[in-house]
Amino acid sequence: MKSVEPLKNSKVPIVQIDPSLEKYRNETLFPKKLAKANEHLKTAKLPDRKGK
Amino acid sequence: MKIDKYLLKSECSFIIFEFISEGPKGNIHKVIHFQKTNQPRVFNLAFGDKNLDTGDIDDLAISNNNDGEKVLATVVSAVYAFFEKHPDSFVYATGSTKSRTRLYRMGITKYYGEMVADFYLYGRTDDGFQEFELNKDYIGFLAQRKFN
Repeated sequence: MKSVEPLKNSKVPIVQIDPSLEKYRNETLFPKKLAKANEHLKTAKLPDRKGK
Repeated sequence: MKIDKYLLKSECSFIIFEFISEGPKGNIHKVIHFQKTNQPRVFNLAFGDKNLDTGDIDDLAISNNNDGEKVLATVVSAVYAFFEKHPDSFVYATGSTKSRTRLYRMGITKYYGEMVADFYLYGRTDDGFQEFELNKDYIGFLAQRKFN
């Protein structure tokens, strides 16, 4: 039998799939927050993406 | 981070998550949204309370359900889940108010040792992005997943 220890110790949670949440995917739920984030991101150079 | 977390629900792309906060104010449905930004592969982490009657989301609500640590741990676990499906992305987070941004900083500081093992962490200052340092003020935070 496979050990469940890796699963128990994983930081990646078990996520229940709920198709009813699909309807929010293309909505902008927090427009002011997004606008603020976009302002911060637009005006600064992003760090270089580090490889795997 | 071995703290209690709430059960997360999501749609299949792990962009929208929902969980239920339980406490003295009853059950409060919370939504986490990894929003596409104006930068390719950079997503903004936003979350707030869901109004079950209208379906509207409120990110300024202060529900204070006496479970702040558990909510924070749940949001962080959603970040881990998000990166499973979007490993090459960055996640950005900034509070809707200065005090909320400070709360995020406190959360990162509290779990700093664990977080730097799993993420490249950066803070946004007026001068741009720099590697996250403890005890320094930032207006936002950026994370890239490390895969060892």
